[in-house]
Amino acid sequence: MSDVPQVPDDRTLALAFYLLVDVSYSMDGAPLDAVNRILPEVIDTIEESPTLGDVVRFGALDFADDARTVLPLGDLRDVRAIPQFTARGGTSYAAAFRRLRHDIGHDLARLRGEGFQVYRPAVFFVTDGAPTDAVPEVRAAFAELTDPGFRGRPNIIPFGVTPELPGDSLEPWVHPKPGTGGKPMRSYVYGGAGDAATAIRQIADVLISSIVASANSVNDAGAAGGFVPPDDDDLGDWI
Amino acid sequence: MSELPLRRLGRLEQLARGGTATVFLAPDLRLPDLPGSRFVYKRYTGATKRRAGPSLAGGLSGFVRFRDRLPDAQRATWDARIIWPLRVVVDEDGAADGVLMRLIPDRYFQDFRKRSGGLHRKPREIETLFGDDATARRTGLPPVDAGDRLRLIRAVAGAYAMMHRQNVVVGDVSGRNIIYDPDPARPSVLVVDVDSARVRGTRAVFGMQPHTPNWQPPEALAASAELARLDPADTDAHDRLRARWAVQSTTTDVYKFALMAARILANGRGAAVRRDPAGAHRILRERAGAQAAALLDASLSPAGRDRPAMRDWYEALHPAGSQGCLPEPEAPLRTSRNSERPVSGDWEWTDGQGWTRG
Repeated sequence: MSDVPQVPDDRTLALAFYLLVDVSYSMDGAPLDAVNRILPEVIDTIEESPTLGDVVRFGALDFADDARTVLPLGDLRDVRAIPQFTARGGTSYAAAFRRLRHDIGHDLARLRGEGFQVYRPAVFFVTDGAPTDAVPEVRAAFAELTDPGFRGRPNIIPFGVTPELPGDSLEPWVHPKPGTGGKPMRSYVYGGAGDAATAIRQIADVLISSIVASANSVNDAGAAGGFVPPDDDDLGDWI
Repeated sequence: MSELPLRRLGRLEQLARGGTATVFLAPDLRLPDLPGSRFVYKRYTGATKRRAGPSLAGGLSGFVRFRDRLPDAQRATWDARIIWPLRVVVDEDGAADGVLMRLIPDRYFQDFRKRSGGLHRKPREIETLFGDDATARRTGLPPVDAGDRLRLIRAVAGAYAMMHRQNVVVGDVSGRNIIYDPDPARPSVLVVDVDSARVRGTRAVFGMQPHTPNWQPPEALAASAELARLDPADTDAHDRLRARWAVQSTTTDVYKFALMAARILANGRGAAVRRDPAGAHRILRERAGAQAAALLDASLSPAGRDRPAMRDWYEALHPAGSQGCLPEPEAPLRTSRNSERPVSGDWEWTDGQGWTRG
């Protein structure tokens, strides 16, 4: 062989994003109407950019008394009929976290099987209220989702879309938290003058910005860098 | 000449906002040296300016003066192919705030059809040629056949060859910093977002990342792999590898150009991040001849010294240099009666055409 250096492995890094939406009855009406405009906007962004299409895999889940997979993680260019979020029941965070744990494990294994390199996914978690299930149960489900032994433990960014929520009420459901290793995430609670629908429209904007920035990021070693969280400058109305 | 006070711009209408800058239309601004042109103001964010540091004003002025120094005919050709900074815009304190550039002509814009109905208008980036035909159809992109794809690739080669001839390294070549008009009567391209370009022998203005993911040349990938394995305490080795990773040269430009050509020719799902040139090699051999196919392989060589010059690509895709399968070349955008005609070996530079073999 000549002295020509060999090109190291450069498998494509897939970026996995999940939208996890509270569809309890309090979200019915304008808030869920605004949520239902998120997927079409994300799909438009992906379809305008083949690069994003080739690296971004997107999934959506909802939760009330139970949790469901609304859109299995996949290539958004394959989506024909865009699924809708509809209101039902209460607010079980535990059901949401358990369903997410199940889906992530399954989805990442599939992506690796397709030859992608995959980092931990990012979860944009949208809610308008505190959980209605027992606190120990929620904590147990969250601990299982973020277990250090789970390779797919996600970056979780909770968004509270009503100012009635105390500013720090969603901090327990952030992952990773400061000081626990990995780049720390944070939660956001809307504190602007608009309603929940206004807040949700802003989430759509920062979600899309985060997807685009992630696809262009590099890490300290100069390789594709993975998830770039929302920029606080874009969330001036949020606490 | 190279500076323009912010207050001289008049009204500003925001057009777009990105991670590094916000772009405004300055609808009332007229410049005597560019009659009939409309202009945009690219205002860098505070973070971008901080990253550039105290060298920002000097670096941007260097960009502007570089263009000012080109002979008139070459400057016209330059402007026809590159959206280049025309003035440094300075605030009330005389500090650099951004740059003034020509507005991108309408024919480089695309109305994308949205899923929810309605249209989204934005510049037609070259990466839209990498995608699959069904998605392109759904979003309203015009179909571009193999012949026009080759003509667009040749137009990119011509623009990059012109930059290299002027000792400008393009740098962060990706699917987003070339825009195109596929009009079969005159397929053409514009080089945009030249912030990461540099005149050889000088530093880039911004400390921006030198390579976009999925566009890193092999020399950067090799440095990346070593960096990932490095003992963090070995700061000397870290600095050395970072410098190797950040390398940008005419040969890394050629590598990235070849990736772009391959992705344009063998488009489809996965093509925007693909490095395997087999599909494009076959198309090039069939449509432009064995020499063009060999150029693709050489351009993607892990060793920079094996890669050809941009002008080799321009020549190989010229109808006279092919097997006669390429359509006629695009009409020159501008010609000049008084252009100087530099010569290198048996190559001759012709404004509006680029390098031709004499």
